Amino acid sequence: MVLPTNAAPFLTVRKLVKSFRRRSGLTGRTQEVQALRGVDLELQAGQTLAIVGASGAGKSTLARCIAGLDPPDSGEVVLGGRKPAHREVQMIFQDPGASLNPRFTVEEALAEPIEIRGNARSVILDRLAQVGLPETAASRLTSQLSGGQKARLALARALAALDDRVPCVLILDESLASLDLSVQAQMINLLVDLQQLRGLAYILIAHDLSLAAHLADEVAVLHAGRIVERGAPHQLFQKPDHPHFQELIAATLAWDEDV
Amino acid sequence: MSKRYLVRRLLHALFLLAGISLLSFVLLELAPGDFLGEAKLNPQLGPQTLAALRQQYGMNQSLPQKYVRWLGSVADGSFGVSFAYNLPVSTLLWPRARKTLQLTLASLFLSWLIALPLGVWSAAGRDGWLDRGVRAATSALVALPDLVLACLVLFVAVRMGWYRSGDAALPVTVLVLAALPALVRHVRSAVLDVSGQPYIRAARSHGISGARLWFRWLLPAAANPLASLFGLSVAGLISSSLLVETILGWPGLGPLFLEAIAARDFYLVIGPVMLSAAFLIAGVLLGDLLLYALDPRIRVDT
Repeated sequence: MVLPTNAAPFLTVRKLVKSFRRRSGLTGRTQEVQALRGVDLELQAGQTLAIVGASGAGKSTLARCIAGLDPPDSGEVVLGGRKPAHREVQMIFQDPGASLNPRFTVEEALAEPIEIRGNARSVILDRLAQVGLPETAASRLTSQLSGGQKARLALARALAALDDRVPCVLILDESLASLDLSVQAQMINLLVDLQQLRGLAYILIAHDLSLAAHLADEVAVLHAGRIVERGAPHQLFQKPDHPHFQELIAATLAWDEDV
Repeated sequence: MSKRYLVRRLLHALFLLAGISLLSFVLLELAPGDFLGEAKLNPQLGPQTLAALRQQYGMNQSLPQKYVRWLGSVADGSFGVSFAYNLPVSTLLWPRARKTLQLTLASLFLSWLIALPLGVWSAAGRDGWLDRGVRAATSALVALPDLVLACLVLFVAVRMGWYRSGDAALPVTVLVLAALPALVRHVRSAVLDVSGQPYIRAARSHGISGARLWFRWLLPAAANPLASLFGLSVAGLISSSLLVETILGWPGLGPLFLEAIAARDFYLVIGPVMLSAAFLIAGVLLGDLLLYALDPRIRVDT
């Protein structure tokens, strides 16, 4: 999996800066937290980029900025020459189950993003089949689904919100971390199949390095709001340059040996 | 709506009413003094007359005997006899109850009608000028006891020449002002609570916004805690109503109840107590039915 370096990048992130003001309740003093301090990234269509880093490194903020949910303070996200629209970049959240409205049926949950695009409802059953949910699930409430089914539905909904006709980006913000291992494996297979089928580009936000190594074409290491290291997974894991990444790898290995 | 659920709830309500009546009987019996307490001091009434009156009113019966007799009177619809008026409690109670009900229903309707848009609006423009104004006003109103509020409204109405005896506007104003702060604050916090939910954030990320987000996502989700609050607001309004009626001279249950307590007119106290309890239970039941109608998850579970 060597990157085609001569191809023009499909998604570009330039000098992204984002800080939050946190106000402590009692004293009313504001404290500025710099989550992103100038992040540059490129992503090719149909490829998978993993962003790894310890908690607090700014991974989720980066994901939200790319998805257009938080406006960056400065810098820009460019897709196909302009700011990406909701139908081009979608995100699956940390807890896919909690991101579903519990009072909607599966059908309604899928219809919401589809209807506002003006697409036909026949697409719904199509999307269900795509993620391996049975047609009979359509009339059930989302709150009645199992964890694995909820994850599939969240994926189906993100797909429903995306435009079929153009290459799209799907961001997975630790979406697989809350699932048990067998469901996680099913989801990974599903994601790989969908990538081949629809030419989706994935941004995989992960603290689990083995998952990143398994799925990604490229891994970027985020530390304290900056990308400190980038490269193909096999290169990075064999010869990590940045001390922080060395630590991350060591921690993962130690954990793997414990298990 | 399953019929069984409704029947179960109604039976439950009946048991609750029985329990409340029993408790009221015991508590009233334990309270010192009775209706003839003052008559004892009257030199014109001899001990024989008093004993005869006691016999006539059934006051020397034991508590279980009294209770059973009262249950019988409930069955025939008279709800016991008032010692002071020498009339069946029901003939005194119903016209008064109608007056109280008019007041509470009007206030219930009006206060929710105002609280819902105000709370939603306040939450939508969080920390804006309206939100700050609403928060300040509700804080001030919450701190004001009903009694003070009623006196204040009465004072203003008399000064401005608005006061007319028997006009419902005054007590309704007081009741709405008394109920409003809690309702507005609950509506506001329910909406804010819901808008922080992960699935609302997800909806926004799918590009859902505006009226669709409000009417299909935010408001249905915020309605759940408010449906439960609806039942409680009935209870709050009734208990405020008893006080406000007495202050503003509205011929509802309030003045009758107070008078009956002062005179230790046993069955005339029990009557309004039972009636308020019935209103309260009806309010809570209504809130639950509302919840049932609003939330598809509950329909699945029951």
